[in-house]
Amino acid sequence: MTKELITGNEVLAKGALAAGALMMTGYPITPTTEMMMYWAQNCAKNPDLKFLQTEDEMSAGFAMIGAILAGTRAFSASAGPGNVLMQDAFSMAENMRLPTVAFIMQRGGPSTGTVIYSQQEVNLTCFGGNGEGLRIVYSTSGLQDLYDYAIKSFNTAWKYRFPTFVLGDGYQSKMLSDVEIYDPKEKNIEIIDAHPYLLNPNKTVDTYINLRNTYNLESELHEVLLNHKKAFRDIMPEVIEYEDIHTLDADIVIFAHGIVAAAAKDAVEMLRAKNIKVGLFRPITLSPFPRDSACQVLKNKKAILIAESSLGQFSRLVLSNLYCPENLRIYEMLEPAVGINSNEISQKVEEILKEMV
Amino acid sequence: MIPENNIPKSWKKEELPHKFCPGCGQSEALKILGYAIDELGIQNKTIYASDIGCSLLSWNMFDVDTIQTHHGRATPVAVGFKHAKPEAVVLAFMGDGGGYAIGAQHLINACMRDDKITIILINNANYAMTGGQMAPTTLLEQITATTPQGRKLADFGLPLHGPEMLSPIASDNAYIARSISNDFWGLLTTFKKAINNQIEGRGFSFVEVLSMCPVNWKTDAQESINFVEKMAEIYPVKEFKIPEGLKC
Amino acid sequence: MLSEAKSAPSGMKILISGEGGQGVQIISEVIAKTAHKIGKNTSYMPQFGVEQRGGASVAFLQIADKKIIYPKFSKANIVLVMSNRSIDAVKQYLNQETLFIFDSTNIDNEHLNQIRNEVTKVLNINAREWALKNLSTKVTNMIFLGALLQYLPDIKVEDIKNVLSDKLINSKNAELIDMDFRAIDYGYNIAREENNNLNGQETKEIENISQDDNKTWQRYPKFCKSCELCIVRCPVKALSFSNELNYLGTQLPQIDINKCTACGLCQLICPDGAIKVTKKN
Repeated sequence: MTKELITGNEVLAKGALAAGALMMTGYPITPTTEMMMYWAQNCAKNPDLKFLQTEDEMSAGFAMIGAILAGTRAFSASAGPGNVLMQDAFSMAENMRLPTVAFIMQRGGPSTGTVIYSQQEVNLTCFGGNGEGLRIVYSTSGLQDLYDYAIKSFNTAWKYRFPTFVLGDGYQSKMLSDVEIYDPKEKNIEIIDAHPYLLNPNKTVDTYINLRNTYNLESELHEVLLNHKKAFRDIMPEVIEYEDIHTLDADIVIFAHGIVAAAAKDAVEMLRAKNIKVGLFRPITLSPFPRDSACQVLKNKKAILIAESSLGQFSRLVLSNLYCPENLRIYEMLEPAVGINSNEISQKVEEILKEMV
Repeated sequence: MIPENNIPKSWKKEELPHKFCPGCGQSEALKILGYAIDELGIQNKTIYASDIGCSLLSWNMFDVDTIQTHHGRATPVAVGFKHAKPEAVVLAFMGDGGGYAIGAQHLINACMRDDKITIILINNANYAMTGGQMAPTTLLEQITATTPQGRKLADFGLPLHGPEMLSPIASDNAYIARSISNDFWGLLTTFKKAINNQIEGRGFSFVEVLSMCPVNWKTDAQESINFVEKMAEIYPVKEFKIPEGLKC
Repeated sequence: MLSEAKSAPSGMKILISGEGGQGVQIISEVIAKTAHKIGKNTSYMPQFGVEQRGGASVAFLQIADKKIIYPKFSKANIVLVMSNRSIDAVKQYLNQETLFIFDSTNIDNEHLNQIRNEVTKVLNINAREWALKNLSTKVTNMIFLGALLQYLPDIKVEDIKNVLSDKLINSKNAELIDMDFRAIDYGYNIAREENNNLNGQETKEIENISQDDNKTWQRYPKFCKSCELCIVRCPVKALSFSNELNYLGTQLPQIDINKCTACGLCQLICPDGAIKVTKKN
């Protein structure tokens, strides 16, 4: 275990290496590009590693699928308009239960937007494509998270065979900070085997695999999707993760995810120092959403504050999952395309408390 | 020598009759591809990626491992597989829409990168599965569902010549050819060369196959043959790039 | 019995099913257009898989006096079946009130057994056989179109023919229109009474092996799609259409073994692998 001063993009590449990933596909886009550069440098040193710089993000997504079919732990990274294009491949992965892994570092949108930061790819990452959102999405809150969940994302993907995402943002990928880098073995993290879908060397000679994503009848696809949904529901208890900070005695609970949740955590500490009873609920898996735990938290609460760097993508996700008590007040802090710091959050909480008195 | 079996060994018997229309040139080409796979003895190390369009109907036609992709995306799936597992024989099968329109960027870049895969592209001068709309390969003045007055140069430009487009950007290790589905022996040889170029680890290989679409052309058997022969006058059947030392 | 079907209070719900390419969608569209023309409310929705030809092709057709708001239904007043495989697609739409119309010269008893307990009202039509003998298998669907008109008393045979002529006005084949009309008339007349006879064909192999001392020529009716390429391309014109039918209900090729040189071209070029030529030593 070592403490290293590195950027988030390097952290993700190192996490992928630690997880046994062998191949990256991608098309350069800010703020993820350095990840590719870092990976390519590793490929130059290690002939087992492969990097494919593709002509666009569709190609990156589908080439990743090709590698996965061959039984290679492969991944890609993208953001913004690149994430839009890559959804074509994720839709196929969702239909065919393929363990794609993608590191999405959100930038400003819509359109080309800005190149570094936002939280505006929640809808796209959780529900993109012409599908049903049967995906696993980890929203990270800092560089250590990036490393931990980069490793975890490969295991989750190959164990459960649903498309898996690490959802960060440009602050996290561009930031230089201390990160604890470790070998998964040190923490008894077992790396899940990657089995080939096609040309499995252990297959008997006379069986051949024909995989499809197109069906003739409504009823055929209906059945496939109900099976996928059941499988997804079955794994939810194992997959769902969240962080719950001081919510038990709180009057007001902040709902935030990703880097905004890091700011909110700071804000909670500041407010608690002033004896203000505030807590934080941070879903780590935006999909599947920790619905039951979030609903539990609401008991005896006066208000919730949903804070995010978007015009309500996270808020809609939260509210669609909560059974809100009648007298619960709901406040939103929607700041599209800009960061939210801890002072702004604590100020907002204090304003709310004044208003409620 | 006429093959001993009327059906290639590598065709999946339990899925016959296959799903292609009567008189479809694509199914002729796929039968010949089956014999090529048989002759090369590669059934157990081949993966076959099909595009969307009529090509998807071949998803369970072969006793080889196969993957159905998205429209235009057979090439990147094949490229990804090959990079991950270079010892596999990787075939990507698509139509003129998948290769020359919606997935043209993948075709061009795979050729430019000299990816060691074999792409087979069916040129039947229209989009068949959706009911005969104009394709990049539709001939000038040809009537299709979206060119009821015929394809006009002023509106839609010239028919796309794929092998001619790829040859200048291909490396000297690439094999690039155009063949025709009616010519059993010619197409069989072309397929074998294209696949051998991959097996020998040399480079990219691409075969465009001129093919008949009687249902959308609204032609009978003889008229279909006449039309595809007319296509061959516009799209010359020949080898555009042959790497040195390629076995056949 | 006829009158019951005719007086269905919530309008007619008709399900038509066959192989892609048998003309299921055309007859549904023509009926819908004609119904609209005479002022009825109508809805026709095709349902099929990804194949242009082959695979089950199903049409949901509704005609009513009141407005039709949903394109599908759970049970049909009439179910019409043209091929073996399509019985699977219609099973769930049958109940004791449904009139089951089928082609007794194209459907096997083996397949009919699947629905033997479901249906009580039956109209059995020798469509394919009659079409082959008198006109062409291309117009088999028109016999069924005619038969359906018996159950749609508001729609006149003449109205249908007018709509059909408009649709085929650009057809290269004027002869075809005439054959269509004759097939419609035949179907209309033969459907005057339900015959409650749920008997189809006994499954039989119609493989044909022609041989002489030097060669054998064999065809596979389960693969052949009547594309005619073998007939057109045979260098010695030894092939022609026979009166026997393949699995699609279209004509199989036959060989004049005396003309055949066993060159094998027909085997090589058959896209369906439906011909085998063997030279004897």
